[in-house]
Amino acid sequence: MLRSAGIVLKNQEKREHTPAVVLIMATAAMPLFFRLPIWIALWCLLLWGYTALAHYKHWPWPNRVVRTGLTVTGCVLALHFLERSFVGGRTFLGLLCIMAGLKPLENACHRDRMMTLLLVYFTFISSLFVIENLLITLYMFFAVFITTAGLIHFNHSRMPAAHGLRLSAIILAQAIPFMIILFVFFPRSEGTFFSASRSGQGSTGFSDSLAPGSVSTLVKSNSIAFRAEFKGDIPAAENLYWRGLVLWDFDGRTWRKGRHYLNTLYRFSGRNRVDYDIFLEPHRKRYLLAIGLEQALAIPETGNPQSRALAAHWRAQFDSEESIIKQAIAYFQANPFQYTLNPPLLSSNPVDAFLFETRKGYCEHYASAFAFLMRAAGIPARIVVGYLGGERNPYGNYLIVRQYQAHAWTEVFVAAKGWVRVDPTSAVAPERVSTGVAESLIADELPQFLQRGKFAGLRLYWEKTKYFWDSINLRWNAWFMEFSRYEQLGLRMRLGRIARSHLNQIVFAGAALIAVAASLVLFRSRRGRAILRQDPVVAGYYLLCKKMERAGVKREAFQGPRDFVFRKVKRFKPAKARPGD
Amino acid sequence: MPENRKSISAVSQVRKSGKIRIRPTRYGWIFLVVVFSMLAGSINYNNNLGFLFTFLLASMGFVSLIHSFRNFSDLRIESVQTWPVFEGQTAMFQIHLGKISASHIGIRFRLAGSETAEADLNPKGRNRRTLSIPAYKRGVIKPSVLVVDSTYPFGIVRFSAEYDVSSVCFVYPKPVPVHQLTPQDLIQAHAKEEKLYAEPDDFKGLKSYQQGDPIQHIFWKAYSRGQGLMIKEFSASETPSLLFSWYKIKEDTTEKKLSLMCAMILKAHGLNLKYGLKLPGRIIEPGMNERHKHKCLEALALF
Repeated sequence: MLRSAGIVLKNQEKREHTPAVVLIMATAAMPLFFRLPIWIALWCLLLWGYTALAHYKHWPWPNRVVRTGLTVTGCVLALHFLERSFVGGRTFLGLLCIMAGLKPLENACHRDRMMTLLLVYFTFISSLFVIENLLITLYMFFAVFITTAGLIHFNHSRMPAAHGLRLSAIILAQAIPFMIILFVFFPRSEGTFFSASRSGQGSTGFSDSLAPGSVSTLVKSNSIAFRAEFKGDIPAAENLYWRGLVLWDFDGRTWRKGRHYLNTLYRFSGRNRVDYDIFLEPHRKRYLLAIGLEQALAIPETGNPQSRALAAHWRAQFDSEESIIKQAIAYFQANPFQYTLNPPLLSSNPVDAFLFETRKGYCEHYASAFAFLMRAAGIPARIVVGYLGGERNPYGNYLIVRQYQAHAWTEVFVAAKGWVRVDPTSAVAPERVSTGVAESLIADELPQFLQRGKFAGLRLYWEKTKYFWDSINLRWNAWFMEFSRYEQLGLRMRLGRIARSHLNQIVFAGAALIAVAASLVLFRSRRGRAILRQDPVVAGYYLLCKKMERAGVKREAFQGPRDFVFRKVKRFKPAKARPGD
Repeated sequence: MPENRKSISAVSQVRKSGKIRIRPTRYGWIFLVVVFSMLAGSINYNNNLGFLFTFLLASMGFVSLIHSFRNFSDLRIESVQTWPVFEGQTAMFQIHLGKISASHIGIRFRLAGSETAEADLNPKGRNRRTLSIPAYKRGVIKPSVLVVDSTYPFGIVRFSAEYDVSSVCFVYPKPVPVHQLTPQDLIQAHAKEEKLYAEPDDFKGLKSYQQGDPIQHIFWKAYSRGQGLMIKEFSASETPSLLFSWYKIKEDTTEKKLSLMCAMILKAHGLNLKYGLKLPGRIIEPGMNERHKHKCLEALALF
């Protein structure tokens, strides 16, 4: 009896494809592990491991009570150990991973598996929002390939697994042109639908105030603040002052923004204009760094009497502002000031204590004291916090600026020239300006990553690799990630279309889509279709029919195998005995 | 099991009613929701990777539609064949498909009242699929609609087509166990009072066997001698003909009467007697071949 059609029940209650489900979920969730604490990864791996082993070794499968308990436990752990902000924060990602670990256990029927797959897509896009480089883009295609192969296989389990992989690859390849067209032509907008806090995972960078210790704590961080790509030559080290925030208000100890801070992107107009692009790492603040220029004199009425006296003395002695400034700088140079990350704590009059007693501090101390002196002497001054310096990447014409290069300096207002930068640190530790942080501090104080360790040669090689990878990512970022409305308009213009109106754009995109779709429909490849395994008996029978037909005995359409064989084949007398029949 | 696959069957052509319908499945709706929420998220955060991923998924969904269409179109159903069954058995409907040029995967067939059979169709294979409907009640089974659908490849969109099927499966009443009937019972049901059959030893002679002659009367000796199949003829001028009468049956309910009559027909047929039916409102003259048997049984089924 030849095989009859497989009769299948609808929505069969059958737990199958467990290993495939685990594999697919792991593929999608894995990128998130790099952005979350390690216990999340462990949670997932343990659960997936148990799921896989339960399948292969027939261990007991957790029932609904156990699964619910695990879910609650996982959620509680996530909410407790991750930070508080919900939307876009690490808590959300953590919860997603917790669910990802548990979901493969829910595998009782086809519906469960389909829901798991659809959630897999959703999980994966979350990781795309927190990791943005070339590697994850390529990984994305791989993950979609695997997940879609699973989707096909779960829906058609009778076919071999290779069929799912093959079809997935074909559909993926056919979908890519559409994807590109949509990506290029889909209208982008500037605004947002709803303002949620950005899910940036970068470090905080600066706060909005400067107090003793603000900058020195940043020296502990090696993470990248931003990259700046230069079209021409990179300026000399002493000119690499990156302005971030301007602080105006001083209360005796801390400098703050005050009311005068303007939140716009400045067009700089310095003397020597330099063209560059800034690639900013995500942070939660609303400012943009730029080399540039800007616009006070307020100091508290009491406090720091010695410094006030010193300033008044200079004011009386000298006429021009430049002289006073020079005098102040000379003061720093003449006296035994030290540049250090760990100065003694300052008492109630911090400026006095710093200038006359301890004489040890980091850039924020010097800047703060200097600005105070200037203001006390009647010269408008303000604090600028930002970064100083940058690492040149040999593979690309850009600088990498890291958090540990954070710096604070001052600007004073000189009548003829306007706001002029004066960096008191350069008076005390000129190596900081000309070379970098590592050269300006004692080796003991340097953080781990700045110290020269052993394996210098290997380290060099590793550094080079990192630079190379970083330069690739920068190109990727510039080319792909920054493709925004602005670039879209530019592209359209470059394509020679005056496609300002949406109608043109829609028509073009629609036409392109139809063209690709038509090509798919018309391109009927028979070989491309899946090849089903045929019952060998059936295959043998058809071979017989074919051979008989060649010999002149044709099977009629209404003749079944028995009929054909008994009537025609058995009575067949071969005309000639041909060898090989 | 239907008695004999070679016996009477009803084959009917099918006609397609309506066009191919395309609808998203429940997972298709969820897929759309997922894609749209991804799109919203990408627009909101202005994330190019998010856009890329969303468009990739959307494109794959779109491309899968084309695959789905190519998998489903070019399917032709030519006819549906069925065989009569007895009450309590399972009616089988065999669907004959037309020649296809490429593989079709995941095609599902369903008749009104039957289970869903899923099949992968091979251009080289014999393309017939069988669906079963349990026959609980005597009468006719008329699944007027055959639904063919598929959700290949992703299970997110369903292509379906409906066919009008005019095949009718007769469900004969369940016969009382035949071995319990004796020839006397048969005679008792006979409408007229008369002597019925001659003794079996009125042997007349031999004649060569023709298809349709009672197999019980084959003269095997001649065959074993190599003289071919021969039949013993009896002198009884005519085979006795019975006319089973409804009014003569001593049972209380209709169904029991019909069951008994069914058993009698089967017995008579097995004994190679001529038989007919007398039902209120209908008389079927005695006859004695397969065709006649089915005619009588159908009359019982439709009663």
